[in-house]
Amino acid sequence: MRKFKVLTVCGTGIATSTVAAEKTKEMLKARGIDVEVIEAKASEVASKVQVFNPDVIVHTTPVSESAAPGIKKFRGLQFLTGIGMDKLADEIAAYLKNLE
Amino acid sequence: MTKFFFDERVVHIGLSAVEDIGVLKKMADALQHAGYVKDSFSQAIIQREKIFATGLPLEVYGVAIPHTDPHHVEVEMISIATLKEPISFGVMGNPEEKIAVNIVFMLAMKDSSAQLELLATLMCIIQDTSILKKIYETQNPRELMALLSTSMDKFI
Repeated sequence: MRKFKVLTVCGTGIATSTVAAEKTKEMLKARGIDVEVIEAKASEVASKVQVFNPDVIVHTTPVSESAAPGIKKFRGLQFLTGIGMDKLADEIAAYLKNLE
Repeated sequence: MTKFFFDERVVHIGLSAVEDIGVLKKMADALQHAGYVKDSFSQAIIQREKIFATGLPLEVYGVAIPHTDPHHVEVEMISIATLKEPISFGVMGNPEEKIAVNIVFMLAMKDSSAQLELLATLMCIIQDTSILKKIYETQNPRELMALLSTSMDKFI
């Protein structure tokens, strides 16, 4: 399986996306999926999407469709609260495996 | 992880304030008086909370983790407040949705990569209802600091 690319997004890019990035990496690895994760501030999404071309976006702040057209977006609050975290990781893993 | 030290001057027990902005202002002012953040921090954190809310709906308690851009920060610190009465904050990712918040961790952070472990540990703490309950019920700032330090050690 190829290495997938995940963009994590939060308001400032210093706190929650950092935690979400680590959790995404860890939980997808546990599901046999290797990912490269890049973090972005909400204001940088459009430019990072162009350069990094992510397979999915995990966000803790809203991301508009126009900033990342056609890219599957997952709300990542579960990675911060721990509630529903496994279900979210399962959903992301299933989506990525389907891309193969 | 290098040991993180809290500061009693920015630990608030039973804080009361008018709305979320009042909480942010009181906590930010204390951080500024203690020299951890610049004059601009207070306004920046209030503005950011309006656009990017930080309330986290957890199992029992509501927690908010307000923070803002690193250039408003002089020295890293985490300020903690338990609220006398729950105060409404917007939910992260959806500011229109509101939750009642009981505990606030205000993060004065400089550099994300250096702070990652600290943030990850803090996230473990807020996911642990029994620790949150102890934090919320503690009536003494020093006890609260000791409790947090011990809890952090547990998760490293």
